[in-house]
Amino acid sequence: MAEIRRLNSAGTRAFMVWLAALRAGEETTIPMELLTDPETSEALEFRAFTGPDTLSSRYELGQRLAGSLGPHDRGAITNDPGVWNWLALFFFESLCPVRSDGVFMPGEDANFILSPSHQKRPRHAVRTTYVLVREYGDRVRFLFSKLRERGELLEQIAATQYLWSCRGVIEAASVLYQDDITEGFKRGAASKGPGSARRFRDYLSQLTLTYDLHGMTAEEILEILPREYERFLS
Amino acid sequence: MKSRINHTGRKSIPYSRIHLQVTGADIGRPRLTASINLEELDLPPDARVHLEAYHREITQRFDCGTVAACIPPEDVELSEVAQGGRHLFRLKVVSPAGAGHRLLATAERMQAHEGPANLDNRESLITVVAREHTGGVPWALEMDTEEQPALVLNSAIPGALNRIRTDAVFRALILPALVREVLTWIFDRGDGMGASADSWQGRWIEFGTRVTGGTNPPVDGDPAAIGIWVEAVVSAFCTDLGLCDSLATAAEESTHG
Repeated sequence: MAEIRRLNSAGTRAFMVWLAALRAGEETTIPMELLTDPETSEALEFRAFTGPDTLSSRYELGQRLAGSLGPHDRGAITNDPGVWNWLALFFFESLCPVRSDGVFMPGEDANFILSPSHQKRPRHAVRTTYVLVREYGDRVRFLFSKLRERGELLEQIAATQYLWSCRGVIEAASVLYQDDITEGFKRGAASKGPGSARRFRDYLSQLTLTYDLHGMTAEEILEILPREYERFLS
Repeated sequence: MKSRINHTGRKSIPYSRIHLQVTGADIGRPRLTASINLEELDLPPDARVHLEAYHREITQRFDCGTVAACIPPEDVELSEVAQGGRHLFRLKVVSPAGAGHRLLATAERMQAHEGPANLDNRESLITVVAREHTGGVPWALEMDTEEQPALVLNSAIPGALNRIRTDAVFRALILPALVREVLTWIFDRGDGMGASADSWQGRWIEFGTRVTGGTNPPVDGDPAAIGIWVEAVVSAFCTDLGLCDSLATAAEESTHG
Protein backbone atom coordinates (compact mmCIF):
# COMPACT_ATOMS: atom_id res chain seq x y z
CA MET A 1 0.00 0.00 0.00
CA ALA A 2 1.22 3.51 -0.76
CA GLU A 3 -0.02 7.06 -0.52
CA ILE A 4 -1.19 8.25 -3.94
CA ARG A 5 0.82 11.10 -5.47
CA ARG A 6 1.04 12.65 -8.93
CA LEU A 7 3.87 12.40 -11.45
CA ASN A 8 5.07 15.85 -12.46
CA SER A 9 6.14 16.62 -16.02
CA ALA A 10 9.68 15.34 -15.36
CA GLY A 11 8.27 12.12 -13.88
CA THR A 12 5.90 11.60 -16.78
CA ARG A 13 8.70 12.18 -19.26
CA ALA A 14 10.90 9.68 -17.43
CA PHE A 15 8.05 7.13 -17.45
CA MET A 16 7.63 7.61 -21.22
CA VAL A 17 11.37 7.21 -21.81
CA TRP A 18 11.31 4.01 -19.78
CA LEU A 19 8.33 2.67 -21.76
CA ALA A 20 10.21 3.34 -25.00
CA ALA A 21 13.26 1.51 -23.65
CA LEU A 22 11.06 -1.36 -22.52
CA ARG A 23 9.55 -1.69 -25.98
CA ALA A 24 13.05 -1.65 -27.44
CA GLY A 25 14.05 -4.49 -25.13
CA GLU A 26 16.55 -2.36 -23.24
CA GLU A 27 14.83 -2.13 -19.86
CA THR A 28 12.98 -4.40 -17.52
CA THR A 29 13.19 -2.94 -14.03
CA ILE A 30 10.15 -0.81 -13.30
CA PRO A 31 11.29 2.70 -12.25
CA MET A 32 9.35 2.72 -8.99
CA GLU A 33 11.65 5.42 -7.61
CA LEU A 34 9.78 7.95 -9.79
CA LEU A 35 6.76 7.47 -7.55
CA THR A 36 8.37 9.02 -4.47
CA ASP A 37 11.28 11.12 -5.73
CA PRO A 38 10.31 14.79 -5.16
CA GLU A 39 12.02 15.63 -8.45
CA THR A 40 9.55 13.47 -10.36
CA SER A 41 6.41 13.39 -8.22
CA GLU A 42 4.49 15.52 -5.78
CA ALA A 43 1.97 15.01 -2.99
CA LEU A 44 -1.78 15.48 -3.52
CA GLU A 45 -3.73 18.05 -1.57
CA PHE A 46 -5.33 15.25 0.46
CA ARG A 47 -4.31 11.80 1.63
CA ALA A 48 -5.48 8.76 -0.33
CA PHE A 49 -4.03 5.29 -0.58
CA THR A 50 -3.64 2.65 -3.25
CA GLY A 51 -4.61 -0.38 -1.19
CA PRO A 52 -2.66 -3.62 -1.65
CA ASP A 53 -0.11 -3.78 -4.48
CA THR A 54 -1.78 -6.79 -6.10
CA LEU A 55 -5.07 -6.86 -8.03
CA SER A 56 -7.46 -9.55 -9.25
CA SER A 57 -9.22 -7.50 -11.97
CA ARG A 58 -9.47 -3.99 -13.32
CA TYR A 59 -12.93 -3.84 -11.80
CA GLU A 60 -11.38 -4.30 -8.37
CA LEU A 61 -8.95 -1.49 -9.18
CA GLY A 62 -11.84 0.77 -10.15
CA GLN A 63 -13.74 -0.04 -6.96
CA ARG A 64 -10.70 0.59 -4.84
CA LEU A 65 -9.93 3.97 -6.43
CA ALA A 66 -13.58 5.01 -6.39
CA GLY A 67 -13.39 4.50 -2.65
CA SER A 68 -10.07 6.24 -2.05
CA LEU A 69 -10.12 9.05 -4.63
CA GLY A 70 -13.83 9.44 -5.32
CA PRO A 71 -14.73 11.36 -2.16
CA HIS A 72 -12.00 13.94 -2.92
CA ASP A 73 -12.72 14.24 -6.63
CA ARG A 74 -14.68 17.24 -7.77
CA GLY A 75 -13.44 16.89 -11.32
CA ALA A 76 -9.88 18.05 -10.78
CA ILE A 77 -8.55 14.58 -10.00
CA THR A 78 -10.35 13.03 -12.96
CA ASN A 79 -8.61 15.52 -15.20
CA ASP A 80 -5.17 15.47 -13.57
CA PRO A 81 -2.90 13.41 -15.86
CA GLY A 82 -0.18 13.27 -13.21
CA VAL A 83 -2.38 11.26 -10.84
CA TRP A 84 -3.31 8.69 -13.49
CA ASN A 85 0.23 8.35 -14.77
CA TRP A 86 1.44 7.82 -11.20
CA LEU A 87 -1.18 5.12 -10.61
CA ALA A 88 -0.38 3.43 -13.93
CA LEU A 89 3.25 3.23 -12.92
CA PHE A 90 2.40 2.01 -9.43
CA PHE A 91 0.22 -0.83 -10.77
CA PHE A 92 2.29 -1.41 -13.90
CA GLU A 93 3.44 -4.87 -12.88
CA SER A 94 -0.18 -6.02 -12.45
CA LEU A 95 -1.69 -4.23 -15.46
CA CYS A 96 0.88 -4.61 -18.22
CA PRO A 97 0.36 -7.52 -20.63
CA VAL A 98 3.19 -10.05 -20.52
CA ARG A 99 4.55 -12.49 -23.04
CA SER A 100 4.65 -16.19 -22.21
CA ASP A 101 8.26 -15.75 -21.09
CA GLY A 102 7.25 -13.00 -18.68
CA VAL A 103 8.48 -10.05 -20.73
CA PHE A 104 6.30 -6.94 -20.43
CA MET A 105 4.43 -5.91 -23.60
CA PRO A 106 3.20 -2.39 -22.79
CA GLY A 107 1.87 -1.46 -26.22
CA GLU A 108 1.46 2.21 -26.94
CA ASP A 109 2.10 4.97 -24.39
CA ALA A 110 -1.61 5.81 -24.17
CA ASN A 111 -2.19 2.63 -22.17
CA PHE A 112 -0.25 4.10 -19.27
CA ILE A 113 0.29 7.80 -20.05
CA LEU A 114 -2.93 9.79 -20.32
CA SER A 115 -3.13 10.96 -23.93
CA PRO A 116 -4.32 14.46 -24.95
CA SER A 117 -6.12 12.84 -27.88
CA HIS A 118 -9.80 12.11 -27.26
CA GLN A 119 -9.44 8.97 -29.35
CA LYS A 120 -6.62 7.57 -27.26
CA ARG A 121 -7.54 8.93 -23.82
CA PRO A 122 -10.01 6.10 -23.07
CA ARG A 123 -7.18 3.59 -23.48
CA HIS A 124 -5.57 4.60 -20.18
CA ALA A 125 -5.52 1.51 -18.00
CA VAL A 126 -6.40 3.24 -14.73
CA ARG A 127 -8.36 6.42 -15.44
CA THR A 128 -11.01 4.87 -17.66
CA THR A 129 -11.53 2.08 -15.15
CA TYR A 130 -11.93 4.57 -12.31
CA VAL A 131 -14.30 6.90 -14.15
CA LEU A 132 -16.69 4.19 -15.30
CA VAL A 133 -16.65 2.06 -12.14
CA ARG A 134 -17.13 5.11 -9.92
CA GLU A 135 -20.14 6.18 -11.98
CA TYR A 136 -21.79 2.86 -12.78
CA GLY A 137 -20.43 0.31 -10.30
CA ASP A 138 -21.54 -3.24 -10.94
CA ARG A 139 -23.19 -2.34 -14.27
CA VAL A 140 -19.76 -2.07 -15.94
CA ARG A 141 -18.14 -5.12 -14.34
CA PHE A 142 -18.28 -6.84 -17.75
CA LEU A 143 -15.94 -4.23 -19.22
CA PHE A 144 -13.24 -4.75 -16.62
CA SER A 145 -13.19 -8.46 -15.85
CA LYS A 146 -9.61 -8.89 -17.07
CA LEU A 147 -6.53 -7.47 -15.45
CA ARG A 148 -3.82 -7.22 -18.09
CA GLU A 149 -6.08 -6.61 -21.10
CA ARG A 150 -8.12 -3.53 -21.86
CA GLY A 151 -10.44 -5.62 -23.91
CA GLU A 152 -12.13 -5.10 -27.24
CA LEU A 153 -15.49 -4.38 -25.67
CA LEU A 154 -14.23 -1.48 -23.59
CA GLU A 155 -12.49 -0.13 -26.67
CA GLN A 156 -15.85 -0.06 -28.44
CA ILE A 157 -18.06 1.23 -25.65
CA ALA A 158 -15.63 3.88 -24.41
CA ALA A 159 -14.60 5.25 -27.80
CA THR A 160 -17.37 7.85 -27.86
CA GLN A 161 -16.97 9.86 -24.69
CA TYR A 162 -20.39 11.48 -24.73
CA LEU A 163 -21.96 8.06 -24.34
CA TRP A 164 -20.08 7.53 -21.06
CA SER A 165 -22.23 10.13 -19.39
CA CYS A 166 -25.52 8.63 -20.61
CA ARG A 167 -26.61 6.30 -17.83
CA GLY A 168 -29.29 4.71 -19.98
CA VAL A 169 -26.72 3.85 -22.67
CA ILE A 170 -24.31 2.20 -20.23
CA GLU A 171 -27.12 0.31 -18.52
CA ALA A 172 -28.51 -0.84 -21.87
CA ALA A 173 -25.02 -2.07 -22.83
CA SER A 174 -24.89 -3.95 -19.54
CA VAL A 175 -28.26 -5.59 -20.23
CA LEU A 176 -27.16 -6.57 -23.72
CA TYR A 177 -23.62 -7.72 -23.17
CA GLN A 178 -22.93 -8.57 -19.51
CA ASP A 179 -22.65 -12.28 -18.81
CA ASP A 180 -23.84 -12.62 -15.24
CA ILE A 181 -22.34 -16.08 -14.90
CA THR A 182 -18.79 -15.34 -16.03
CA GLU A 183 -18.95 -11.65 -14.99
CA GLY A 184 -17.38 -10.96 -18.39
CA PHE A 185 -19.21 -10.30 -21.64
CA LYS A 186 -21.37 -12.51 -23.82
CA ARG A 187 -20.01 -14.43 -26.78
CA GLY A 188 -20.17 -12.33 -29.94
CA ALA A 189 -20.36 -9.00 -28.12
CA ALA A 190 -16.83 -8.06 -29.16
CA SER A 191 -17.24 -9.14 -32.77
CA LYS A 192 -17.95 -6.89 -35.72
CA GLY A 193 -21.19 -8.67 -36.52
CA PRO A 194 -24.86 -7.76 -36.08
CA GLY A 195 -25.74 -6.61 -32.58
CA SER A 196 -22.10 -6.26 -31.51
CA ALA A 197 -20.85 -3.55 -29.16
CA ARG A 198 -19.11 -1.86 -32.07
CA ARG A 199 -22.38 -1.53 -33.97
CA PHE A 200 -24.19 -0.50 -30.75
CA ARG A 201 -21.76 2.41 -30.30
CA ASP A 202 -21.97 3.48 -33.93
CA TYR A 203 -25.76 3.31 -33.95
CA LEU A 204 -26.09 5.33 -30.76
CA SER A 205 -23.53 7.87 -31.97
CA GLN A 206 -25.87 8.46 -34.91
CA LEU A 207 -28.83 8.79 -32.59
CA THR A 208 -27.15 11.60 -30.63
CA LEU A 209 -27.99 13.82 -33.60
CA THR A 210 -31.70 13.24 -33.24
CA TYR A 211 -32.34 11.92 -29.71
CA ASP A 212 -31.59 13.23 -26.24
CA LEU A 213 -29.86 10.04 -25.14
CA HIS A 214 -28.85 11.60 -21.84
CA GLY A 215 -32.49 11.74 -20.82
CA MET A 216 -33.40 8.20 -21.87
CA THR A 217 -33.59 5.13 -19.66
CA ALA A 218 -32.04 1.78 -20.60
CA GLU A 219 -35.51 0.45 -21.38
CA GLU A 220 -36.27 3.35 -23.73
CA ILE A 221 -32.97 2.85 -25.53
CA LEU A 222 -33.47 -0.90 -25.87
CA GLU A 223 -36.92 -0.24 -27.37
CA ILE A 224 -35.55 1.80 -30.26
CA LEU A 225 -32.73 -0.60 -31.14
CA PRO A 226 -33.08 -2.56 -34.39
CA ARG A 227 -33.84 -6.27 -34.24
CA GLU A 228 -30.20 -7.30 -34.67
CA TYR A 229 -29.67 -6.75 -30.94
CA GLU A 230 -32.39 -9.17 -29.88
CA ARG A 231 -29.99 -12.10 -29.79
CA PHE A 232 -28.18 -10.48 -26.85
CA LEU A 233 -31.36 -9.98 -24.85
CA SER A 234 -31.83 -13.64 -24.10
CA MET B 1 -13.34 22.92 -45.84
CA LYS B 2 -16.21 20.50 -45.58
CA SER B 3 -19.67 21.82 -44.91
CA ARG B 4 -22.22 19.72 -43.09
CA ILE B 5 -25.82 19.36 -44.19
CA ASN B 6 -28.32 19.12 -41.40
CA HIS B 7 -30.85 16.43 -42.29
CA THR B 8 -32.17 16.08 -38.79
CA GLY B 9 -34.68 18.91 -38.83
CA ARG B 10 -33.13 20.12 -35.60
CA LYS B 11 -32.99 23.88 -35.19
CA SER B 12 -29.95 25.86 -34.11
CA ILE B 13 -30.60 28.19 -31.22
CA PRO B 14 -28.79 31.53 -31.77
CA TYR B 15 -26.06 32.15 -29.21
CA SER B 16 -27.45 35.61 -28.64
CA ARG B 17 -30.43 33.93 -26.92
CA ILE B 18 -28.29 32.45 -24.16
CA HIS B 19 -26.17 34.12 -21.51
CA LEU B 20 -23.99 32.02 -19.25
CA GLN B 21 -22.14 33.46 -16.32
CA VAL B 22 -19.81 31.56 -14.01
CA THR B 23 -18.52 32.96 -10.77
CA GLY B 24 -16.26 31.45 -8.15
CA ALA B 25 -14.05 29.46 -10.52
CA ASP B 26 -11.01 31.20 -9.04
CA ILE B 27 -11.72 29.65 -5.65
CA GLY B 28 -12.53 26.21 -7.06
CA ARG B 29 -16.29 26.55 -6.54
CA PRO B 30 -17.72 27.55 -9.92
CA ARG B 31 -21.37 28.58 -9.85
CA LEU B 32 -23.53 29.03 -12.90
CA THR B 33 -26.23 31.56 -13.62
CA ALA B 34 -27.90 31.36 -17.02
CA SER B 35 -30.52 33.29 -18.91
CA ILE B 36 -32.30 31.71 -21.87
CA ASN B 37 -34.70 33.32 -24.31
CA LEU B 38 -36.57 30.84 -26.53
CA GLU B 39 -39.40 33.14 -27.56
CA GLU B 40 -40.47 33.29 -31.21
CA LEU B 41 -38.33 30.32 -32.27
CA ASP B 42 -41.42 28.33 -33.24
CA LEU B 43 -40.77 25.62 -30.67
CA PRO B 44 -43.59 23.70 -28.93
CA PRO B 45 -44.40 25.44 -25.67
CA ASP B 46 -44.37 22.15 -23.77
CA ALA B 47 -41.01 21.00 -25.17
CA ARG B 48 -38.47 20.38 -22.42
CA VAL B 49 -35.32 22.46 -22.01
CA HIS B 50 -32.03 21.06 -20.69
CA LEU B 51 -28.73 22.84 -20.19
CA GLU B 52 -25.63 20.62 -20.02
CA ALA B 53 -22.20 21.56 -18.73
CA TYR B 54 -19.64 19.10 -20.00
CA HIS B 55 -15.98 18.34 -20.01
CA ARG B 56 -14.71 15.25 -21.75
CA GLU B 57 -16.86 12.35 -20.53
CA ILE B 58 -18.41 14.20 -17.58
CA THR B 59 -21.75 15.95 -18.07
CA GLN B 60 -23.74 17.90 -15.50
CA ARG B 61 -27.28 18.47 -16.61
CA PHE B 62 -29.82 21.07 -15.52
CA ASP B 63 -33.52 20.65 -16.12
CA CYS B 64 -34.79 24.09 -17.13
CA GLY B 65 -38.50 23.31 -17.44
CA THR B 66 -40.27 23.91 -20.73
CA VAL B 67 -40.09 26.40 -23.58
CA ALA B 68 -43.14 28.23 -22.23
CA ALA B 69 -41.94 28.09 -18.64
CA CYS B 70 -38.17 28.10 -18.89
CA ILE B 71 -36.38 28.34 -15.56
CA PRO B 72 -32.61 28.47 -16.15
CA PRO B 73 -30.10 27.66 -13.41
CA GLU B 74 -29.49 30.55 -11.05
CA ASP B 75 -26.37 30.48 -8.89
CA VAL B 76 -26.08 26.70 -8.90
CA GLU B 77 -22.80 24.93 -8.26
CA LEU B 78 -21.02 23.21 -11.14
CA SER B 79 -20.13 20.40 -8.81
CA GLU B 80 -19.66 17.56 -11.29
CA VAL B 81 -17.58 18.98 -14.10
CA ALA B 82 -13.90 19.78 -13.77
CA GLN B 83 -12.75 22.22 -11.14
CA GLY B 84 -10.15 23.41 -13.62
CA GLY B 85 -12.97 25.22 -15.42
CA ARG B 86 -12.43 23.85 -18.89
CA HIS B 87 -16.04 23.02 -19.46
CA LEU B 88 -18.40 23.97 -22.23
CA PHE B 89 -22.16 24.08 -22.39
CA ARG B 90 -24.88 22.86 -24.71
CA LEU B 91 -28.58 23.69 -24.64
CA LYS B 92 -31.14 21.14 -25.77
CA VAL B 93 -34.82 21.54 -26.51
CA VAL B 94 -36.40 18.09 -26.43
CA SER B 95 -39.82 16.91 -27.55
CA PRO B 96 -42.51 17.06 -24.87
CA ALA B 97 -42.65 14.31 -22.25
CA GLY B 98 -43.94 11.06 -23.75
CA ALA B 99 -43.06 12.10 -27.29
CA GLY B 100 -39.85 10.14 -27.73
CA HIS B 101 -36.92 12.27 -26.53
CA ARG B 102 -36.47 13.87 -29.94
CA LEU B 103 -34.04 16.79 -30.21
CA LEU B 104 -35.91 19.80 -31.58
CA ALA B 105 -33.25 22.49 -31.20
CA THR B 106 -29.73 22.82 -29.82
CA ALA B 107 -26.96 25.30 -29.18
CA GLU B 108 -23.55 23.65 -28.93
CA ARG B 109 -20.09 24.43 -27.58
CA MET B 110 -20.96 27.50 -25.58
CA GLN B 111 -18.51 28.98 -23.14
CA ALA B 112 -19.51 30.82 -20.01
CA HIS B 113 -17.86 34.00 -18.92
CA GLU B 114 -16.28 34.76 -15.60
CA GLY B 115 -18.04 37.34 -13.50
CA PRO B 116 -20.82 39.65 -14.53
CA ALA B 117 -18.81 42.03 -16.69
CA ASN B 118 -18.94 40.12 -19.95
CA LEU B 119 -22.11 38.47 -21.14
CA ASP B 120 -21.01 38.25 -24.74
CA ASN B 121 -21.77 34.66 -25.63
CA ARG B 122 -20.34 34.40 -29.09
CA GLU B 123 -19.14 30.93 -29.92
CA SER B 124 -15.68 30.76 -28.43
CA LEU B 125 -12.47 29.64 -30.10
CA ILE B 126 -10.55 28.95 -26.93
CA THR B 127 -11.24 28.11 -23.33
CA VAL B 128 -9.29 30.04 -20.73
CA VAL B 129 -8.65 28.55 -17.30
CA ALA B 130 -6.36 29.25 -14.36
CA ARG B 131 -4.81 26.24 -12.73
CA GLU B 132 -2.28 25.22 -10.12
CA HIS B 133 0.38 22.62 -10.86
CA THR B 134 1.54 24.04 -14.17
CA GLY B 135 5.08 23.08 -13.26
CA GLY B 136 6.27 26.67 -13.00
CA VAL B 137 5.18 27.45 -16.56
CA PRO B 138 3.34 30.83 -16.79
CA TRP B 139 0.99 29.64 -19.51
CA ALA B 140 0.46 26.61 -21.68
CA LEU B 141 -1.90 25.35 -24.33
CA GLU B 142 -3.86 22.14 -23.95
CA MET B 143 -4.67 20.69 -27.33
CA ASP B 144 -7.18 17.97 -28.04
CA THR B 145 -8.58 16.71 -31.30
CA GLU B 146 -12.17 16.83 -30.03
CA GLU B 147 -12.30 19.82 -27.72
CA GLN B 148 -11.34 23.33 -28.58
CA PRO B 149 -7.92 24.45 -27.29
CA ALA B 150 -7.53 25.61 -23.71
CA LEU B 151 -5.21 28.35 -22.57
CA VAL B 152 -4.05 27.33 -19.11
CA LEU B 153 -2.75 30.20 -17.03
CA ASN B 154 -0.73 29.63 -13.89
CA SER B 155 -3.02 30.57 -11.02
CA ALA B 156 0.01 31.82 -9.09
CA ILE B 157 -0.20 34.92 -11.33
CA PRO B 158 -2.57 37.30 -9.55
CA GLY B 159 -5.73 37.95 -11.56
CA ALA B 160 -4.50 35.84 -14.47
CA LEU B 161 -7.98 35.31 -15.95
CA ASN B 162 -8.69 39.02 -15.92
CA ARG B 163 -5.25 39.95 -17.23
CA ILE B 164 -5.69 37.97 -20.42
CA ARG B 165 -8.62 40.24 -21.25
CA THR B 166 -7.27 43.54 -20.03
CA ASP B 167 -3.50 43.56 -19.44
CA ALA B 168 -1.75 44.84 -22.57
CA VAL B 169 1.58 43.25 -21.70
CA PHE B 170 0.02 39.91 -20.83
CA ARG B 171 -2.00 39.84 -24.03
CA ALA B 172 0.81 40.97 -26.31
CA LEU B 173 3.19 38.33 -25.01
CA ILE B 174 0.73 35.43 -25.04
CA LEU B 175 -1.84 35.84 -27.79
CA PRO B 176 0.36 35.89 -30.93
CA ALA B 177 2.17 32.74 -29.82
CA LEU B 178 -1.15 31.15 -28.94
CA VAL B 179 -2.64 31.76 -32.40
CA ARG B 180 0.52 30.51 -34.10
CA GLU B 181 0.68 27.39 -31.94
CA VAL B 182 -2.97 26.43 -32.42
CA LEU B 183 -2.94 26.84 -36.20
CA THR B 184 0.38 25.04 -36.52
CA TRP B 185 -0.97 22.17 -34.40
CA ILE B 186 -4.01 21.86 -36.66
CA PHE B 187 -1.98 21.65 -39.85
CA ASP B 188 0.83 19.53 -38.39
CA ARG B 189 -1.75 16.86 -37.60
CA GLY B 190 -3.27 17.07 -41.05
CA ASP B 191 -6.56 18.32 -39.59
CA GLY B 192 -6.57 21.54 -41.59
CA MET B 193 -7.68 20.50 -45.06
CA GLY B 194 -10.56 18.22 -44.14
CA ALA B 195 -11.88 20.06 -41.10
CA SER B 196 -15.66 20.35 -41.07
CA ALA B 197 -17.05 23.84 -40.67
CA ASP B 198 -18.53 23.12 -37.25
CA SER B 199 -15.46 21.46 -35.74
CA TRP B 200 -13.21 23.61 -33.58
CA GLN B 201 -10.49 23.17 -36.19
CA GLY B 202 -12.87 24.43 -38.87
CA ARG B 203 -13.82 27.45 -36.78
CA TRP B 204 -10.15 28.34 -36.27
CA ILE B 205 -9.49 28.13 -39.99
CA GLU B 206 -12.56 30.25 -40.65
CA PHE B 207 -11.20 32.73 -38.11
CA GLY B 208 -7.84 32.78 -39.91
CA THR B 209 -9.53 33.31 -43.25
CA ARG B 210 -11.68 36.10 -41.86
CA VAL B 211 -8.91 37.95 -40.06
CA THR B 212 -6.75 37.96 -43.19
CA GLY B 213 -9.55 39.48 -45.21
CA GLY B 214 -10.68 36.28 -46.89
CA THR B 215 -7.41 34.49 -47.59
CA ASN B 216 -7.96 30.77 -47.36
CA PRO B 217 -5.14 28.45 -46.27
CA PRO B 218 -3.25 26.79 -49.13
CA VAL B 219 -5.08 23.72 -50.36
CA ASP B 220 -2.03 21.73 -51.45
CA GLY B 221 -0.83 21.08 -47.90
CA ASP B 222 2.62 22.51 -48.66
CA PRO B 223 4.16 23.13 -45.20
CA ALA B 224 6.05 26.24 -46.30
CA ALA B 225 2.92 27.81 -47.80
CA ILE B 226 0.91 26.92 -44.72
CA GLY B 227 3.58 28.49 -42.53
CA ILE B 228 3.31 31.70 -44.54
CA TRP B 229 -0.48 31.69 -44.16
CA VAL B 230 -0.23 31.10 -40.41
CA GLU B 231 2.16 34.03 -40.04
CA ALA B 232 -0.22 36.19 -42.08
CA VAL B 233 -3.02 35.26 -39.68
CA VAL B 234 -0.86 36.08 -36.65
CA SER B 235 0.14 39.40 -38.15
CA ALA B 236 -3.42 40.38 -39.07
CA PHE B 237 -4.67 39.30 -35.66
CA CYS B 238 -2.05 41.39 -33.86
CA THR B 239 -2.83 44.39 -36.05
CA ASP B 240 -6.57 44.04 -35.48
CA LEU B 241 -6.13 44.00 -31.73
CA GLY B 242 -3.39 46.64 -31.76
CA LEU B 243 -1.24 44.39 -29.61
CA CYS B 244 2.07 46.01 -30.50
CA ASP B 245 0.77 49.54 -29.98
CA SER B 246 -0.77 48.59 -26.66
CA LEU B 247 2.46 46.97 -25.55
CA ALA B 248 4.47 50.01 -26.62
CA THR B 249 2.13 52.29 -24.70
CA ALA B 250 2.32 50.10 -21.62
CA ALA B 251 6.11 49.99 -21.86
CA GLU B 252 6.30 53.78 -22.16
CA GLU B 253 4.02 54.24 -19.16
CA SER B 254 6.17 51.84 -17.23
CA THR B 255 9.34 53.69 -18.22
CA HIS B 256 8.02 57.15 -17.44
CA GLY B 257 6.13 56.14 -14.33
